[in-house]
Amino acid sequence: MPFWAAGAEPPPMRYAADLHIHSCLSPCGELSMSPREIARRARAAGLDMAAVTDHNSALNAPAFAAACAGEGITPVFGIEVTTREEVHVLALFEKPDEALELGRIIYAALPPIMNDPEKFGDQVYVDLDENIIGEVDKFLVSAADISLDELAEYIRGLNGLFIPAHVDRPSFSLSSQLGFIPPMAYSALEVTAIPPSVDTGACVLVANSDAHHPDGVGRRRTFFSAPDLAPGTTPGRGPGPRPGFADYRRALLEGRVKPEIPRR
Amino acid sequence: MKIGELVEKLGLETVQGEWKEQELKGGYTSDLLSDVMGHAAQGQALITIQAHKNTVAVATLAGISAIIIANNRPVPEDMIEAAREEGIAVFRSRENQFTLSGRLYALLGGGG
Repeated sequence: MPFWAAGAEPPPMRYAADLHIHSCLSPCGELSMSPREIARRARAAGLDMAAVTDHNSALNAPAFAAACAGEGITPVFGIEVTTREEVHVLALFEKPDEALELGRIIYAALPPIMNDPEKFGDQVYVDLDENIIGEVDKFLVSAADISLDELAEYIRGLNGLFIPAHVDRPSFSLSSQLGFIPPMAYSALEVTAIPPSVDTGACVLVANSDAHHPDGVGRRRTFFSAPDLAPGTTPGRGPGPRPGFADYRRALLEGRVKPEIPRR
Repeated sequence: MKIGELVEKLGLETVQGEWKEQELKGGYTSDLLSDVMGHAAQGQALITIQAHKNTVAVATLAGISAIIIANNRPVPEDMIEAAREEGIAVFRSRENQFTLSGRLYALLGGGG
């Protein structure tokens, strides 16, 4: 039960999350975007929670787990999946293994088109110390042969969050690909402007940076409250307990989130 | 030309055969469904490789009466069911969008 009573002031939205960040594993992500650098930047930007969400792969999740432990930030492990409809969807998980499992399913469903690093950029995954461990051979920007419905099912089975990305953008979004937002059990919809330019109905809205370079981390974010957590001793983020994935999930379910998007 | 005539004239495979027979008023070719919504017209056939049930939803909204899936893409069962409920024909061809569009255009008398 939440600790605030009906009719009372809701708990303050003191926690900040940016759950859409590309690392060096995305061909479009800068090589300087190592998991360690992202965790460092997330902390510097005042985030409590951050996620690495590369295109169709989660192979930087283990390094990101270690990097966030060092920075005192709650890591979330994700993938920005390209579905058969060529819609980008954030799949977010509590544990690296859950994201890696979805990554294996997606890899098998990607067409056998290989990456050309000269043309598209590198697709490397690294360890905590930024040593390259390996390189993904298939081109990660291709669409996986998995429909939106199938993806929703896989994510549900792995206890993850199903959040269509930048639904108000003119490319690779629900609105651009389909022309409408089909009724599905979304955990939330990610938008890049408030109010969004498309009809999002009664869905909970979140904002994330979609950063591809270090300066972008935290540029858009979502504040949320975690009434189950004892507040920290200082206003805003304090030395109190850190919110976890379950707190974020509950905040989405209960609509206790507020996307923050700077004016351009 | 009726929808049913497409099968023989374009050598199509019928994937969903329960449609309301009517005169075909033209065709539209696109793999971006938001574009289909914006530009396709009532009574046209849609040529696309987007084989999933949301294509049926868009076809319903745009008044598309038949969907032709190009490049022999597999058609999932939920798409077939959705099309059956809406009475929209679904066909499939080995040919690509360009070839199908050209042949349909010629069949319909070069557009006018």
